[in-house]
Amino acid sequence: MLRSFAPLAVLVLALTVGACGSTKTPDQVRRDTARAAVLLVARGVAAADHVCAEVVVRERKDAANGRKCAAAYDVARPVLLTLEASIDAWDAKTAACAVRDAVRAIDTMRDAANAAGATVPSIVDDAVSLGGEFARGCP
Amino acid sequence: MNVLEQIAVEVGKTLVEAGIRKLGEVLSDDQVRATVASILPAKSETQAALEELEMEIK
Repeated sequence: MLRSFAPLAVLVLALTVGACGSTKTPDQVRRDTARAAVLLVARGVAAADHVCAEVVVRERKDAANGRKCAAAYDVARPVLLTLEASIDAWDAKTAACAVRDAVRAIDTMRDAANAAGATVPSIVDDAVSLGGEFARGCP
Repeated sequence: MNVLEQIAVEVGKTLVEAGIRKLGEVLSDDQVRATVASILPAKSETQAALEELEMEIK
């Protein structure tokens, strides 16, 4: 009895696995990646901003480096909002260049925090390195 | 960098890229928009802290 069901079970399993596999175009894959990059980079900006506020400004009273952080945040935020729009309309180059600009802004925030003697959480480093990978699509 | 280290870097990069892609697949455009808007307010925490510091100095 069980033996007669074995080929059917294999067929069902094969169909299930096949249905789960994605057959996306390279552009769709890149768009998926852009969505994740937006989220990761935005979280990196927020984490760097938090360190700048709490450690650089409130704890160390380092207004000069705090101002560098605030200025970089003001660059990163509109860039990420632009990136959202470019994902909706899907323009690969614009998306990659927006990520590049946001990553540069995070880098500035990280440098300012380090200069004030503060260390940033690992999500900031991850956002810089992974965002940098995505930004390679920017000519 | 030796060959083994090179392979480790390449495999790690591939896994990370696959992870990002998977995360992207489960997020909709609306979710991304809502998340960015909610985690990045118009005024940064740093700017608010700088204004507090200025008030303290005054």
